[in-house]
Amino acid sequence: MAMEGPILCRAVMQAKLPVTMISNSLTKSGQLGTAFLGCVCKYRNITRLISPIYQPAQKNFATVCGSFSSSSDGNGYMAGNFSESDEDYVNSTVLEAVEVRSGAEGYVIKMRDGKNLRCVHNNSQGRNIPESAPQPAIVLRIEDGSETLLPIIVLEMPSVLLMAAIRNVHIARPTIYQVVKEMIDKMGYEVKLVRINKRIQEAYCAELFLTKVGDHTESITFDLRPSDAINIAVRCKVPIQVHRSLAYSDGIRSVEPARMAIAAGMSDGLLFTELDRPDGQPCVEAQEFGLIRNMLIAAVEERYKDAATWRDKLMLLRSKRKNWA
Amino acid sequence: MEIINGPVLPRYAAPATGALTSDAKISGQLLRRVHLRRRACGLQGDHYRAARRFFGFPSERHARSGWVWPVCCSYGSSSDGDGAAAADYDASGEEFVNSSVMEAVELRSVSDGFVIKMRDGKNLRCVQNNPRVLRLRDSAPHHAIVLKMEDGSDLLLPIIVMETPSIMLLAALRNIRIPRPTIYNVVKEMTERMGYAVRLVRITEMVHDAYYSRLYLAKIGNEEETISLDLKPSDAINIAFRCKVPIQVNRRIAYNNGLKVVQPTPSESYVSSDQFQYTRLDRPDDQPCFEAQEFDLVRNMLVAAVEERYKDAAQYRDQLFMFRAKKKNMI
Repeated sequence: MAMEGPILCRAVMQAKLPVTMISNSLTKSGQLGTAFLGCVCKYRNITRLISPIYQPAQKNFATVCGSFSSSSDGNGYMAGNFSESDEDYVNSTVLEAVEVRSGAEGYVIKMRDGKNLRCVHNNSQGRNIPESAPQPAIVLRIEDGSETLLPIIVLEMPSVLLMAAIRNVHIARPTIYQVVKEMIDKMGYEVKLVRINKRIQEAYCAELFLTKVGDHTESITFDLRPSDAINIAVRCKVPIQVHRSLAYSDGIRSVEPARMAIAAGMSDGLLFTELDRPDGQPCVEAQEFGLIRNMLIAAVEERYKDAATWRDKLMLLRSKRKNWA
Repeated sequence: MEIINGPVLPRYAAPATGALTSDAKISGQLLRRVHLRRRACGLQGDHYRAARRFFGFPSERHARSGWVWPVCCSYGSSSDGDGAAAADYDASGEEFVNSSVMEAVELRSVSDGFVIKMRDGKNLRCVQNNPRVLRLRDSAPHHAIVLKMEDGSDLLLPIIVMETPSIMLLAALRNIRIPRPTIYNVVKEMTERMGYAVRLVRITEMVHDAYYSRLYLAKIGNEEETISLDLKPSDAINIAFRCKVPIQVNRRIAYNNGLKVVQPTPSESYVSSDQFQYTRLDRPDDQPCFEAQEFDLVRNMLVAAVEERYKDAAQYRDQLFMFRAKKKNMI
């Protein structure tokens, strides 16, 4: 699906999510509001057509026009503008997920501490989930109270570097993301925001928003891969936002483990823990094993009287045990 | 190859401390150098004309080397004891040599040197330029970026890197269009839109088998305002290639760690002989095969014996003896 601009995306979103737009009542943060003031521009009319509810609010920005819209050099990835409506996006945080595996029953997310989250698609009419081997992924948790997760499959190195950044692990050599952060600081800019704005054929697109230090009206945006964008956002400690249509269409949510899994897991665990720990009771199996061992050794060493004695003791023990059972 | 004695000694002492860099020290060092450069900008204007002229033709640079030399010594930066001597932008150009990137895929260590596997499948056998530098490496293949020195010595400097930077560099070498912007494309675009330009990449030194490199940026319209960043050689070379700026290597590193391509040794004839034998075995040559005939006779004899057809077994045995006697006469 080739997009000439956000028009088609908004039309699709409107057809699917009229209730969400009406019930949207997120409050903007002061800083983000300040950052957005100087960046309303050529999409104002489109916004007014689609969202008549917010038409009065748009009048305040009629006199301001920004000219820093970035294009992606005609390769089909039109970058959204900074002035896109804030209600279209929702904040998210990064989970410490290591890999994601998808199958017929849904997704299984393996966390850093070894636990497995079993998830199903948020939208039951979602696209077909292909069977896949475990792949490194970055999982975002949508922070609107719905407990929706969005897995993004990435290469291995961005995933490893992201895990290191979350835990503040010191890497001896500067990574490319630290170099980018240092470069932005030294050139007099700062990172404001990272947005995951669309998906094109199983690949997500992300944007990085920068503003000049001291002059927030001068801003530039870049198209990035989500893996690079999220890595930079975590290091610069700026919010990560996801488009609502993506969270709705591609989001997954965690489900309770099935009862069969509980029973099997518990039974298996019980057996193993029972075998691993001495319980201070006389062990009948150990006694029987000792008798058999002594009997066989006596037979091998041709001490047949002793072997017969051990055999009698073994039979006595077994008959006694049969009485118990 | 002449080694400049002036600025080499402080950097040579740096690896002895053995401490790896930390980000805080790098940041402090970079800030100090920015202040030092700004102060120098007001004091000596001629100095930065010399620095700007650094990007001229090699002959011009060579002609003025005598004049540039006394000025550059006073601005060499020391490593402040943190083990990572950061090369200064004002360091003499004679200390570095230009290089270009080769289309190498991986590097493997063999008993008498190294084997570089190129993209077209050929293998370059190399030995170390300086035999006294002993580097014990494992024999597993590694992804590597190989730089070729452009000073006529044809030395090769292999740098072992991770897989992703190597693949991205090979894609950039062939102008393969990756549909999504890589982090190196973003860095290039970011630099241009913020009003800076990449000027130079240098491989400055080697500490504990890890190479250090620096990326030099200059503000467009104000070439005296420069920024230098410390980063990995894999990232630096990727950015330099996309921005089409020169990649320079410290002469001491090129001399100590460089490789020379050697002519094929006589041991390669063994490989040829082996290949010849294999190709000969794999292809039928339309001659009567004595081994196959003998095998058939032995097989038929054993089958007859197992099936208790002893008359037939005796006949096959007689035929086998006659066949072997005939073959012995032939030999």
